[in-house]
Amino acid sequence: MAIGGDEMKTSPQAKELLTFLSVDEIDSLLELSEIINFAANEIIIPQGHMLAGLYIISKGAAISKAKLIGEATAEIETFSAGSFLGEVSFIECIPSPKSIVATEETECIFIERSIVEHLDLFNPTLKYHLFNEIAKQICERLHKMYEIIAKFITNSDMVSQLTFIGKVIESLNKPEKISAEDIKLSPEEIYNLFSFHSFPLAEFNLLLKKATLYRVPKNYKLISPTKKSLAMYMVLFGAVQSTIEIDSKVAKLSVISPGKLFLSPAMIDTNIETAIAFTTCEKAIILHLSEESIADIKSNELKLWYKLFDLACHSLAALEKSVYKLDVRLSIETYNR
Amino acid sequence: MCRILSYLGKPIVIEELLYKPDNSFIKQSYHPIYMSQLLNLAGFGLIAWDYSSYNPKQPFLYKSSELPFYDENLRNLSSKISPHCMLAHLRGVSYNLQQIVSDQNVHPFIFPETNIALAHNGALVNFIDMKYDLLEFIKPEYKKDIRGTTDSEWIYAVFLSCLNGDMGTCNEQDIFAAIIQTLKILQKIRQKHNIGITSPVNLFITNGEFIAATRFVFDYGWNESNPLLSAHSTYHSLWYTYGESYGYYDDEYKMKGGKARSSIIISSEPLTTDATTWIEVPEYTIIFAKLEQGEIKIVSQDIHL
Repeated sequence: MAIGGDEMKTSPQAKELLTFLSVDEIDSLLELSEIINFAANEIIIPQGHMLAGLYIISKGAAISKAKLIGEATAEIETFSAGSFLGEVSFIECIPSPKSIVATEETECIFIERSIVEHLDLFNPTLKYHLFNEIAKQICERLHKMYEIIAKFITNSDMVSQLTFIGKVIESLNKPEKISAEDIKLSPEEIYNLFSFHSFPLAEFNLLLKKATLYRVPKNYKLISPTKKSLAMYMVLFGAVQSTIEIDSKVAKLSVISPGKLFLSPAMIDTNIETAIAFTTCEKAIILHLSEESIADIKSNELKLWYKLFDLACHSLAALEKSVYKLDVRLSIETYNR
Repeated sequence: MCRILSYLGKPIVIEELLYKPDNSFIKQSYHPIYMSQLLNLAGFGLIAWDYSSYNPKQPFLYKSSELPFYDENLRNLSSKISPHCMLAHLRGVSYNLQQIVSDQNVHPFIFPETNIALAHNGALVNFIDMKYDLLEFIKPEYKKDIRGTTDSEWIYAVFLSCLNGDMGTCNEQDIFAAIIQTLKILQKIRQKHNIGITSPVNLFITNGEFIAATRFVFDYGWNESNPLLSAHSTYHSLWYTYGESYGYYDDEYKMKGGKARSSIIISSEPLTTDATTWIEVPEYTIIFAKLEQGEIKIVSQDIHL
């Protein structure tokens, strides 16, 4: 690879490519980044390696390949100019599950991890716009994988799990609105329970004021596949299970643990339709931010909104990872037959 | 809080699993990646089946409460034994005098009446309160076999008692049914004693011809203390990899792909720091692996209690 020059930093190409940023933001971003050139067939991101930063293809194309469990290498996806590379691994801080290889001479904008992480301090709006675009690309990819899985599940002989009686019972169990006093914890004690290190205590108190606490029974569907949800949720106690539900067949994705936020992909891209549901798998205490509260935070508490959005990106990255894992599992395991 | 490793497939010299990869099983006793709050220093146990050994239905069994990384006998045996099926366990317990470190408390457990072994990763909180309520669910022939003080051995006794049919011929549905019934019994006793605190129950079960494993926690997300400090704050992990054979290929330890996928490893964590050719079993799941006509068949099922 060759680390190159300043041509990208002054060319109009960057402005055409990074349309999700303002002109000033593009200039700031390019000042903070490097331009790296890759020859055809050169590995941009090796499988199994931690990402040192974010890559955006500015010119050329790439393909992702993975040494799959028990098999030879398989090609998975192609990328063109404007695509982020390895963003899920970057956000989740995990080794890349795939190699990304240039298919022709390719140029990437590379932003080091430490710079991305410190954008919170000196240019949070830039970070927000970058991650907003990343979130959209994650949702697009999630949707494509979801379509493949949905077809598989529909045609499979997976056992149906959602009985009529089950649905009636579910509809009788309702969440109960509560206060912090009801769970015998002060806001500071709740704050200290988890590593909310992105929120100073004052911001967390503000979040609690904007949110509503609920005591939720087990097996309650917080986000249903049939109703578009524009709310955000955070688990304080207990756990929530994400699933794909098609024709009464249910395939598990992952469990959301205490301290983690979750949301429907429809919050990022309202055109996305997926049958992804979020249901309590243990009795739980949930923090709920309604669509109205979120709009209020976006308008009046921008710093808090940026941090919430950061957590939302983590949630979407985890969701994409779990959808990918399900895709792999369905080709290997006899699941729920 | 414990690490477990199981293997089924082509015969393999067990040092390839216990010692050689960069996150080898023995290394996990003092440097686990996925559960770093607690080391696993309270004993090592191994059960293994080898078709070429004398009386092949009877497994090798090795148990010691000594630290495995200083155990020369284990190192020597590992370079010689090449079973087709293996279950190994590193016991991890909290650092206080209430814990009893002894050979009797080392997993895997195998009672004389059966060829099925079990190892457990996890702990039932307030087990002392629920222990004797389990007696009604344990068959008389198994009650006398409980020699140690662990909750795991009692879970094993309940599981065996739930198993229907001939132990030599049980299939995955028999195993699934017995596991679910065992978990339901434990849940019922916990509810009776108002125990609602996170308690992981990752079970590994084998008879030399299949491996079954659960990834399950009771009351996940309800910790009794600061979750940042608790060994149970994260959902106990369970991973697998499968392929033709496991070994050192292309400068790394991995499962080699091939025409036949005839070997599987199911374990608490991957044996290499690069986990990209491993897959994590979802939470609240049972997984079952068996060799059929030279291929490993994997069946998985969600756990709904």
